This record gives sequence, structure tokens and C-alpha cells, in this order.
Amino acid sequence: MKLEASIGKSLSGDRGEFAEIVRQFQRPLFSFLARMGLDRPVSEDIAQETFVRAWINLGRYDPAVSRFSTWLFTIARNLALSELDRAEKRPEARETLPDIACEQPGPHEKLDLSRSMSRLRHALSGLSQADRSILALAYVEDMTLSEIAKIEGCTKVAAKVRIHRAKMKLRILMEKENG
Amino acid sequence: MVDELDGLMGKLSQEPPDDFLEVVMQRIDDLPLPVRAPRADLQWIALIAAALAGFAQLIAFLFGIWAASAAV
Repeated sequence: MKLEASIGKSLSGDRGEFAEIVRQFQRPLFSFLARMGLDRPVSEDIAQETFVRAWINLGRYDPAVSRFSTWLFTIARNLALSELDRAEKRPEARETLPDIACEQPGPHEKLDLSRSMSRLRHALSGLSQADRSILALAYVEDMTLSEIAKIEGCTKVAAKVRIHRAKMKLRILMEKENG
Repeated sequence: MVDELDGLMGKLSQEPPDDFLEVVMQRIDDLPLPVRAPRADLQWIALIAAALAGFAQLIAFLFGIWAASAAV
């Protein structure tokens, strides 16, 4: 209800209310982009562009059609897929995966987690764009299967199957990373 | 393994930079206000009205042809 009020006020020109919307969604959006396998500078650009496009097209958002988060993540997903597409066409870009500081000294558990995360990021980069996209959406808090299906343009059953398959592929890639 | 994967995926996150909100709002300040989309029901009414007007024109045209040919 508060969000809908903020959207209404933003449409009336209250940019401060839109700042509240940005504040509310910036963290989940950055996490989503990280799970898409994008590094920090790229995530920052895409997140910025997502909010700018959301502002420009706010008048077209229809609460009767979808939740605001679904609409916002659809914009972010499309931008992320375009970026991944561009990155695939730049061969050197595949080498710019964020390198977690595995060699940093520190407690064992922290180091293990850091290594696991590094392996996960590498494994994610081995997935197809479609798999990355649906998997990243599956881990967005409060995102239902129906909403994921809507964003991905498929049925709920197809979304469930695709998530399951993407997880299986990621598991295999992780096992390969583990050697 | 799947549980471990879920755990790792849950932990995989990025924090927005401290100045992110400020940067976004600076960009938005330079943009015009969003334009409200016309209501869908009004769009339908306009479409039906335009279709009726077009149909009336067609009927008038056909009647004109009939009247002209009947007068000959």
C-alpha cells in the first residue's frame, strides 16, 4: 500500500518518493544482478539504468497487471541479458569475472566460503543466459513462481522445470570446479 | 549439494555503493516527469467510437452509390 502511494506521488512529480522506491529495491536488485553473474561495475550500471527506465516508464506501470517488483525485475533482467549478450561478443570480457580474494589470509571458514563463492561465480558463468536469468529470479526474496514465469514469459510448470534443470547444471559445474 | 548450493546462492549478493541512491537521483533530476499512460478503458471507448464513426462513413458511402445508381 505504501509502495503504491509512493508510485502515485512519484507520478505526480515527487522525486523524493521515487528515492524511497530506489532505496527499497536497490539491495535486492544488486543481489539479483550478482546472481546473474555480473561483476560490480556492470551491476552498478545496469541497476542505475533500471531505475532510470523505471522512472521514465512509470506512467505505463499497471498495478492490475503485475506487482511493481515484477515490473522492475523485468526491466533489470532484460538489461542484464542484453549486457551478457554484448559481453559474449567480446571474448576478452569473459576473463573479467570478479575474482574473490581467495588467497587473503583470514579464518578458515571465511576462506572456505570465499573459495566456494568464487567457484559458484565461475560455475554461474558457465550457464546459459536463460539458465542464469531464471536461477537469479528464483532467489529473489518474495518472488513467486507465477511472477518468475511472467517475467520469463513461460508457464509456471515450465518455470519450475527450468529452475530445476538450471540448478542441476549449476551443481554439475560446481562439482567440476571442485575437481 | 543442492542445499549447499541454495545456501551459497542465498549468500551471493552485492551491496549497492554508498552513493548509489544519490547517483540515480541525480540522473533522474535531469529527466522530465513520467507521463501517465491513458486509462485502458478510455482507450477502448475511443477505439469503439472511432470504429463506429468509420462504419457510419462506409454506410453513407454505400448509400450514396445506391442513391446515385437508383436515380439513373
